[in-house]
Amino acid sequence: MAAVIELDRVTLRHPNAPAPVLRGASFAVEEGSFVSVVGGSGVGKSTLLRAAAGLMQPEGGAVHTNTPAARDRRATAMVFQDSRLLPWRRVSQNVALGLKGLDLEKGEAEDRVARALALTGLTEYAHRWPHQLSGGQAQRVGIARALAVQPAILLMDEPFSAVDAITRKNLQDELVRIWQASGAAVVFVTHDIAEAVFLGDRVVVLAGSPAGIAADIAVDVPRPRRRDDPALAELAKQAAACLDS
Amino acid sequence: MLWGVAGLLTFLALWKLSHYFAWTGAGTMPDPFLLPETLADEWSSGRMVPAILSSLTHYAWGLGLGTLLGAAVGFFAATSKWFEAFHAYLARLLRPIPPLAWVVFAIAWFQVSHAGAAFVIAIGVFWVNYFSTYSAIRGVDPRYYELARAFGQHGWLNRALTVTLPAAAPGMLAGFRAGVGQAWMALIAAELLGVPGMGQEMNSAAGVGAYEAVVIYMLAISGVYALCDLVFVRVENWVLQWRP
Repeated sequence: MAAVIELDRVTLRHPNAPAPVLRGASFAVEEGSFVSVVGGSGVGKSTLLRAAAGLMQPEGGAVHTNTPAARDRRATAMVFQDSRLLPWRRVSQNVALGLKGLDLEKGEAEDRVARALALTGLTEYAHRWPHQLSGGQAQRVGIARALAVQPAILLMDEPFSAVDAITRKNLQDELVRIWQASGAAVVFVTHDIAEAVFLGDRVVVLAGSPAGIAADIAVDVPRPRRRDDPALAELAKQAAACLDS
Repeated sequence: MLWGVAGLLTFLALWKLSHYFAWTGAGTMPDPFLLPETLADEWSSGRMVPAILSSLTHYAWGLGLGTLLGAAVGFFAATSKWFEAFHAYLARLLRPIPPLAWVVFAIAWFQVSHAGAAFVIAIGVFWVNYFSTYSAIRGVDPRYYELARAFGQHGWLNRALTVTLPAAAPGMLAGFRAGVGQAWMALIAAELLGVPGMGQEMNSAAGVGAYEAVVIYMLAISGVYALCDLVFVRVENWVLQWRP
């Protein structure tokens, strides 16, 4: 399996910050795989995603994206913690955001929006305004918007941290289904170790100051997984130990 | 509703009393009970409708041009560092000049005409919209720009259409609405100098002591403004229907 994105000794610094937030981080994401990135606050998890999305330049090292060149899809798409829907666009128009500028056949944009909405269970909400949605629905729109551009890499920045526990579990289950259906690789940033282990094929643990990669743990637990699987609990304990060190 | 009507009736009663007892001096307080008759006279004299239309003509031009230019300059000032620096001192220099101070040049350049009145109106409206647009655009949440970039929406025009203008729309529309009122204030002042319209009708009625006619034009001004504002609010609610 080829890596779709590769971080090579990446060092990241916020603008005007005295010191880097992340130093010398290297890891690769295999095509179609699910990588969880876990760490406490301020270890540069979100910053790492921004660098992966090309929204900021690393101070040192390099980010290599290795995705097939295509004019009808984007290499990466981002799902934000705050859903970040444009409040002046209806749900379907929000989902269509990234399609403008892609080279699509006539009618293809509408089809993509419809499919992304169907995949996220939002078809009946297509004409709603964002303020008419619950937090969980808004996050699903954010996911649909990312899926519509058919990214090779789906970058997710703590997407479920602002929703209630029950919605969160539902969204996690849905995400696994959507990920398997879409074929995209996922980089999923979270501060929740259990979530990271439950979802990921691998868990990359960020810790320290400036942060670095403290562990890169393979989660060899077959899917569908159960949240109470002792093997997951064992791996979570292992990841937690790396966070504390 | 009931209290509102009571308020109007109280006002009317006090007005009539002050007329009856001549509190402000004999012959200086119009009689509110003569107003319907005066309205009928003014209407049938054939002067009122042309006056209203004339006022609306330079109102529309002044408001339209002032809004367009104010919003455009505010937009460029808020989105271009170069332009912001370029215009900063000029704006500080010109801003404090009251629109009516320009009347001298309005007459010199445009004579007593629609264009002159529209010019004076446009200046007041310009500044209102300049500031509201500038601050509305400066207040756009930068996270929306990050979102646009993350989804490949690059380029100045694309960013303006995707994020800047819709995000700034509530603030810009608040400015447009303030401009609708500002233009109306400037309009009457500009007309008192002789441009045909309701202000001029008021002035000439006052000249012959026809205070009831003055009141009729004051009420006409109020009525037309209320109508403009009503239309504006309808449009605004439609444009901003996405708001909770």
